[in-house]
Amino acid sequence: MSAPVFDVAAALPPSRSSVLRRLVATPFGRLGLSLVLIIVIMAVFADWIAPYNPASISIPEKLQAPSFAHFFGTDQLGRDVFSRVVLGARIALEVAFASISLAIAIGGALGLIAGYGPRWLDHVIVLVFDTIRSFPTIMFALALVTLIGPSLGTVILIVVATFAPGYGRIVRTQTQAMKHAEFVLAERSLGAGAARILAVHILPNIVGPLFILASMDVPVVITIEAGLSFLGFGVRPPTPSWGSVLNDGYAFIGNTPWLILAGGLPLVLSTLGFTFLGEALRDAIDPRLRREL
Amino acid sequence: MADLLEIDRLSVDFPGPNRTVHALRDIRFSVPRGRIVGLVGESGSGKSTLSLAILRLLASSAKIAGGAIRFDGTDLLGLSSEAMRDLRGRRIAIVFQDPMSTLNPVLSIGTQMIDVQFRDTAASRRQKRARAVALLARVGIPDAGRRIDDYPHQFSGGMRQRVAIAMALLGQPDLLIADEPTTALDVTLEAQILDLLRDLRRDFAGAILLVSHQLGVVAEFCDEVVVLYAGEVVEQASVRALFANPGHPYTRALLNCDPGRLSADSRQFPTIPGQFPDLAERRKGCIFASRCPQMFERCRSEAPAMTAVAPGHRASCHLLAGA
Repeated sequence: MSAPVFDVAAALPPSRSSVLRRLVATPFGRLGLSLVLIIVIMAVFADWIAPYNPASISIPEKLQAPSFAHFFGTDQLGRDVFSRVVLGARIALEVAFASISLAIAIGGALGLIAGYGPRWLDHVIVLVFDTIRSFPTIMFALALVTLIGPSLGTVILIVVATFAPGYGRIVRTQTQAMKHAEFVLAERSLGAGAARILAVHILPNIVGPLFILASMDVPVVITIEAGLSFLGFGVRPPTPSWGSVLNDGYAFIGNTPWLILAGGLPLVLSTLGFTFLGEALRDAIDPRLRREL
Repeated sequence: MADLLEIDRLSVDFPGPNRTVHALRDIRFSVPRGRIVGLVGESGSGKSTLSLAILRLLASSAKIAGGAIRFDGTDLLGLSSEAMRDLRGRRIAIVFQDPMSTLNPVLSIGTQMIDVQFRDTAASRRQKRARAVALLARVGIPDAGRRIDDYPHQFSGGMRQRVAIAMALLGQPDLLIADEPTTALDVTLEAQILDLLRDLRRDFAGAILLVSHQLGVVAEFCDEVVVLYAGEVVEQASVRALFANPGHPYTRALLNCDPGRLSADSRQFPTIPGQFPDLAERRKGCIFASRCPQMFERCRSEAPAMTAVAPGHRASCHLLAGA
């Protein structure tokens, strides 16, 4: 039997089940999915998984080596590092999901307006995007932290502000490309207004790439959160973050290297996991995007 | 009774940095209520520009240079964009040429057909869906109740055009513009779609403006014909009168080129000699002068006016004015 000249099934938008099947078809996809699942389970069930209160201080037990009582040992205040790492997963994912969703909502809305609206508005919005993107993230973060003080909200605000322009640009370009599509003209000929065209007809056409981009941004955001917390600009103590675990261990790197490992390893693994998953997702949903994203 | 659609001296320009293309010039014709009017012309004659102009959906690069489009007595060009939007789909609807690209690829047919009924806020989703299914069945989609949840790519071209027709008819418009609805389809499907349109006439009482480049289609389907050449109306007549007694040399030339009229043993395909005129040039005489076999001196210097050939039959040619 000869192979078909043109694989019709491959040209059609994939169904949900076939996306999942293609996702786990590659080793990296499987690895990414399992790593992400572990982290998500850790974050969701943190209260049951963590054996100790991550904030409870017990000076006599400080800087203990890993044992069955304390899997990752204890830090300089005698807090259980394993519990802090487990709870840190929750903070990391909270920041990632909250800020990426907000960035997509804000950037996406602006992108739709810029792409479909009048040209002057497009110029204004693109100028705003470019202005924000021209700030180095860390400088921007320092300025914001100085202005409103370090907190979880500040971290989210920083990430939203730095990521919204990226989503906005993607949405804007896609909207512009779609604005003159025949089916948009057909909808307009039936009396649909701008809001209806954007929400009902253009948005469903661009959520695919947006979703892929978002999944690939998760590790970046996790790193930013950990980085800010490491520098002391992120979440306030005693809230556990992988960044603050790293910072706590950093002072004792010579004597108790497991503290650094406990903070760094989940960071590395989650970054890898989300990156693999994002790339596998991209290939599963739309391999043509490989060049763009 | 006044005509449903009356196009009065409509001109559309495409202004450019160096040259302005005058795509439509002083277009005049009317579509009576409940009639089918065919708009014929070769490629580039401005047929699609005209149908988009009626809906005020021309690209922003086009400019309406003058004239009026009166629909049911009101000039569409004077309406606010909100008022115009309110007319679209409800009173005037259009079926486009290429059914492969006029449906949103990521939404099911049902989602799109339900969404199109957004004006009917009183009806439930279920009612709207039922209406869509009924109309799909009416336009000949077999198993419409199940097919409504399919996506555009799951339909063939002919079926998609049926869906597009159903979408356009959902609002029960008074005027349906069919912009070369069969050009992208093969001959068998073309006959089917035309049969469908004819059949729909039994319960759709509105007027139809059928844009086409095929005289055969127009002859078979329409009550009246408007012949467009290079952005100008050269002749308007009833189908019978136009085919029996074409008044304009261009119409005659066009009729001679109709493959359906060729005899079996003629080996040469007749063509109209000469070049299509440059629409960016301002021209003094008749638009067809450069290709007209009966051209004489006056054709170069003076544009002919629309002259009555018979009641209801007008053409723009100096020969008719008894020059």
